[in-house]
Amino acid sequence: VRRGRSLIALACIGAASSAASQIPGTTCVADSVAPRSPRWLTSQVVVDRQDIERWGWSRISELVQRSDWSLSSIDGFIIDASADGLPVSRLSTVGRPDWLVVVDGQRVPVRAAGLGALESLPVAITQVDRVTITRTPLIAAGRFAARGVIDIQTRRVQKPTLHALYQIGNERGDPGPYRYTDLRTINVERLGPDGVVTAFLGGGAVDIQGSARYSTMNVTDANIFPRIERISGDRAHHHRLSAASGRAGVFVACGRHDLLVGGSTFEGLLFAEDSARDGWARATTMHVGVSGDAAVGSRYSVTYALTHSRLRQDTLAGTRAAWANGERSAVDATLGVSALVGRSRLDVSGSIARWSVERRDGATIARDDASARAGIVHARDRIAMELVGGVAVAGGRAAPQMVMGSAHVGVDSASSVRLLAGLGRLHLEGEAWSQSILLMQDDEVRLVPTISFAEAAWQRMLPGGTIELALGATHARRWTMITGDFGDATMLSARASLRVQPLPALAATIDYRLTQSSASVAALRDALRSTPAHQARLTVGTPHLAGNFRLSSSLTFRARTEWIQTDGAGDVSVRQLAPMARLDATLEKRLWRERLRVYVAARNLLDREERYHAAGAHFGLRFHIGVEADIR
Amino acid sequence: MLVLSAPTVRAQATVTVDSASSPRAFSTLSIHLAGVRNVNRERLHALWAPRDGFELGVSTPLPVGEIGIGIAALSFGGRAAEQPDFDARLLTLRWGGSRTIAGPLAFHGSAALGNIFMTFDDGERRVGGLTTESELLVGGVGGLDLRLSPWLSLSVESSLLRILTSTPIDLVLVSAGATLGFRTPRWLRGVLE
Repeated sequence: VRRGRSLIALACIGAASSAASQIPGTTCVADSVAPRSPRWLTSQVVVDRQDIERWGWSRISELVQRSDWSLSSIDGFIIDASADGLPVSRLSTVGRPDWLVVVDGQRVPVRAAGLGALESLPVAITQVDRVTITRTPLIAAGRFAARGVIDIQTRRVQKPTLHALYQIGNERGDPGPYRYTDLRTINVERLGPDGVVTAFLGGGAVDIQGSARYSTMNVTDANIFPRIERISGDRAHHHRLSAASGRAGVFVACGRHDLLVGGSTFEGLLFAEDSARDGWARATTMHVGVSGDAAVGSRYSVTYALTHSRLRQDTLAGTRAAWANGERSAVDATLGVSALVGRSRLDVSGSIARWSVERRDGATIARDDASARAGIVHARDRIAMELVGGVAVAGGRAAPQMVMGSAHVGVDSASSVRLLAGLGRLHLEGEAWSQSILLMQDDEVRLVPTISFAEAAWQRMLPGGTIELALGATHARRWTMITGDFGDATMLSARASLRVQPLPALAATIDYRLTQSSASVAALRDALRSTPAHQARLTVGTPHLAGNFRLSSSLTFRARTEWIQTDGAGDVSVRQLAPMARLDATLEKRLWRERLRVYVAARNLLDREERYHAAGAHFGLRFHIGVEADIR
Repeated sequence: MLVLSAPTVRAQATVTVDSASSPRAFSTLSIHLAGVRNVNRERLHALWAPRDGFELGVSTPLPVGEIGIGIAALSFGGRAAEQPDFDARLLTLRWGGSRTIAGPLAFHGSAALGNIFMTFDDGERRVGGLTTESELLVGGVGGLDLRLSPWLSLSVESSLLRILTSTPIDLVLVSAGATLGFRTPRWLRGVLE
């Protein structure tokens, strides 16, 4: 995991992103001469194929654990995350996703009825080539993403390849034979098995890939066991996820065009912060979409995406309300055009979407929205500037829990400016973003500034590495379900990163984040404390050891946090979570001329308490053993 | 031709290789078979009586030290009706080295990391619907090897293993057996490298 190396990254501004995927050896004129969007890299974490292998990840959601996002999870399988430090649930902005997930240029909804379904994405981890995790606001896939984006690019394999991964893990703390004695304790998690098989076909202008995967986890943690027993009864305490996905890509007209399909079934326990809404549920997802980009002459390029996603959730047992059952479907279309004008690139894009939720009782909630945006990127010598503005209109027929829906129409606008300067080994960047919603609710019309963000960053290239510093401020106006009104939150953050390579066979990275926040209402102030004030990570890796071994390790520290909890009676309390220090190490060995890879991944070697929610499971020392084959 | 004594994780026989240099990674393979006995007594043994078992292992040299995998099979008999018999399979990954003491006698030692798989013969007393369980284990191994021929040696060793159950279980195992060493087949070496 690392932040990007180059100063100016590829355009990451949604529909107008350039034709980045090409056949090796070919270059499209419009792509090669286009000014790139200024993107300061302290705001991004890039995870590539090498990182995925190095850390022994077998599920998509594990990628997020390597970002500096704030994490929340009750069971350790379904992970929620916050890019900017605002709370991940209960206090999120109404009617819109907190952050976006984009797969090969296609927006994929991952939330419905309380289920954050990162694992159900139409992509397996063996298909992933690169993931760019952005914590700052931007526009992606034609949408405002005020709270970050997870942008996944799939692999483009030039030769027919069969890729398979199998991993299983175990955590210390089972009762063993003592379960038949007075010393009995409950079983703790058995992690996996996780299995993925992916076939890549084609090469050159056409490539096709198909993948099937299965993941399971035995959830029996002592912290949540009473909740599990109450919900599941005699059912086994297992999460089970089965999924299949495929992609067909073709490179024509100096552009790439992809068909992406996927489906998944998850059955297991769905925990809510409020234990009264826990449930044993089955969730099925389906996604189909086409996306692509193409150069038109030497000065124009076009990007497009058309997707249809469906998520159905059925609560089989438990206490979740009727709202948790039903089906959500979304149709999304985006078109963008980019033009080169002198030293500038002009981007215009628009999108329309419709999503609906059908509840089990037959009621349907629907919303339509349309958005448009325009941006200009201007680059001159060592300075680049980006100006973006956009507006979105949304309306719904009925949405009792959503302000925009009850207003029937809302207007959402956003604008941003970024300025980047490269002065030899020194680089500076500043960016600002603001977003507002015009709400029309009953007879009242009011403009609510939802989020404002500004950050300045400094980067210095050193002979043996890079040092980066960033200072940022975020002001957000959030709807709080607890108070039933808006509250204001202000967060100040400071980040520092140091990357050094003292020896050819040794590289180290240190990342540190300081977050201080305040809020106008107590409920929001309490919720903000779920974001750790201090978070640091030291990563050390060896490219190769003797005998084709590789060793990687990381030490993560997270300061104490506080969490709001609501019990079944509606009483609110605040619980503390102790500071966390987690040491991981992965040893891998490549065999059979790189075709096979076996690894042992140790997590939490210090065996300190590791939890991602005050009401959640705790994880101690655990090991994963995996084998991965890449046969061409 | 040069006769080399390849360092081992377990007792490993001396083998003949074509190289004139020090033992190279994956140049030899050693297969070890031994009888094993659990000799210590702790809280577990007041409830279950250990029975003798056997152990099978394979090891090969690395650029630094040696690596091996082994599986030991033991069973435990319940001392009361409340404690069912169970079979245990201890799968370990080991890394270590060896040093010649005198003549054909050598000492070997290694660190071990693994997993124990338990199968309970608990009939109607199933807990949580489960009849099996697995848990991590860590430990160390030390022993003596007596080389009888370039390809055969005898060994005795002792293992101290901690099973990381909620109430930790310490097992001291002693084993005695033989090790057969041979040059790694070319095709297998191609895979390992």
